[in-house]
Amino acid sequence: MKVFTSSRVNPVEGMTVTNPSWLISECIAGNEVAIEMFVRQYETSVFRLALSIVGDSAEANEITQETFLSALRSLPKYEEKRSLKAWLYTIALNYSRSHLRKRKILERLKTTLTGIFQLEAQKQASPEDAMITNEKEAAVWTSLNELDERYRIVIILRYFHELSIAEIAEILGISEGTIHSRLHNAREKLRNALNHLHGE
Amino acid sequence: MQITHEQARRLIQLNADQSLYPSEKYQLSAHLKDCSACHDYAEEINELEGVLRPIMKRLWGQTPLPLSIHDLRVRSYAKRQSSLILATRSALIGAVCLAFLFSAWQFMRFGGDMSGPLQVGVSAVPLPATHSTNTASLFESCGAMHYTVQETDTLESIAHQFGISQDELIVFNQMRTQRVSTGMTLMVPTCNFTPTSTLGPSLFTETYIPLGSPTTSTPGSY
Repeated sequence: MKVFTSSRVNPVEGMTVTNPSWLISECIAGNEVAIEMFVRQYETSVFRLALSIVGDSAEANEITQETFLSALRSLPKYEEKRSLKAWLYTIALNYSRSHLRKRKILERLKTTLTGIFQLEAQKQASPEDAMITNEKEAAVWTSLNELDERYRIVIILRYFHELSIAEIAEILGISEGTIHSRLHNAREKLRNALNHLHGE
Repeated sequence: MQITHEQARRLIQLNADQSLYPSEKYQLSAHLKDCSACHDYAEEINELEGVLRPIMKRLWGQTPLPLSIHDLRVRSYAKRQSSLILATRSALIGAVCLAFLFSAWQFMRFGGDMSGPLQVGVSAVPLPATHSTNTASLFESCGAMHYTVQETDTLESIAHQFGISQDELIVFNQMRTQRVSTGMTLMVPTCNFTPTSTLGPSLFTETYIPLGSPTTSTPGSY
């Protein structure tokens, strides 16, 4: 694990902070080097979390910025008993869900207007469709998108972000037993989708 | 110890969560050796995980646009400062409004009251002995005057002259009868007094006695 040393010209690049207390207090004080360390350490993870929920990279970049702005403003209120990563992920998740809600409202409005004015609905292929390479992936991907949000999020946090059950429980604010239960149910549904493909 | 198929499936799921105790791993391993159905189930879960991970990585494995640290710092601290300024400004406006409301309340309560504690006592203007015309002076505060009864006076005529009632004269002078005699001195109460007729100089003493004054003597003789 790399440790910050002040002798480097660009000390932030490739650095991992081993003392979160020091990092937090320096960020609160407005130390730009500390802020950079904090941001660079979690920037990619936060972006990928946002992207996995909203599915759009431009929106995900916007959510990343909002997350870090909110985190820097709220740092004085951060309680060190919580993991910094889990705290940051919670903020990112809240912003992502908010963006998703707004998008769904706009889509519903668009559907209504399309119906009122009898416009021809244009079906646009999503960029994700181009990434699907075979039937199995298509079956699993379709089934994943059809999952209820509370099941989908635990699958994403477990299999994409590779978080532990304890970390997922902390981020979502629910018990580990509930996380196990939701993962089991989600896997069953995805497994059934694969089985249907096999014709079982 | 033998486990059921349902228990085995539950352990397979927990294994996928990496949450199995060593004893449970041993039990599951033993069951899967003998149960092809549960073995197939475990394989399906593994296959699912094998499809899930790569597809997610491919779809969401991008890197973000790097954030501007300076911009973040300025915006986050500007917001914190503006929150502080807003809070201070709100507190000041609140204090000014409270002070204004309190002053308005005080003014409404005491402002129109001329007899309140702020009012300066108005001293009565003593009536000089030589004046007694139709333009007799008005007394702004209550007092009493000595009046010497004339030959043609009655209690009624004296009361009428001073614009008071006979009862007031009787009570004021503690008279037992309504009879007045020539040369008798009566105390006449005077509040905003304006005599109704010309009075001779001898009718009034020079001294105006304000009511309640320690120099007020016992009213009149009878």
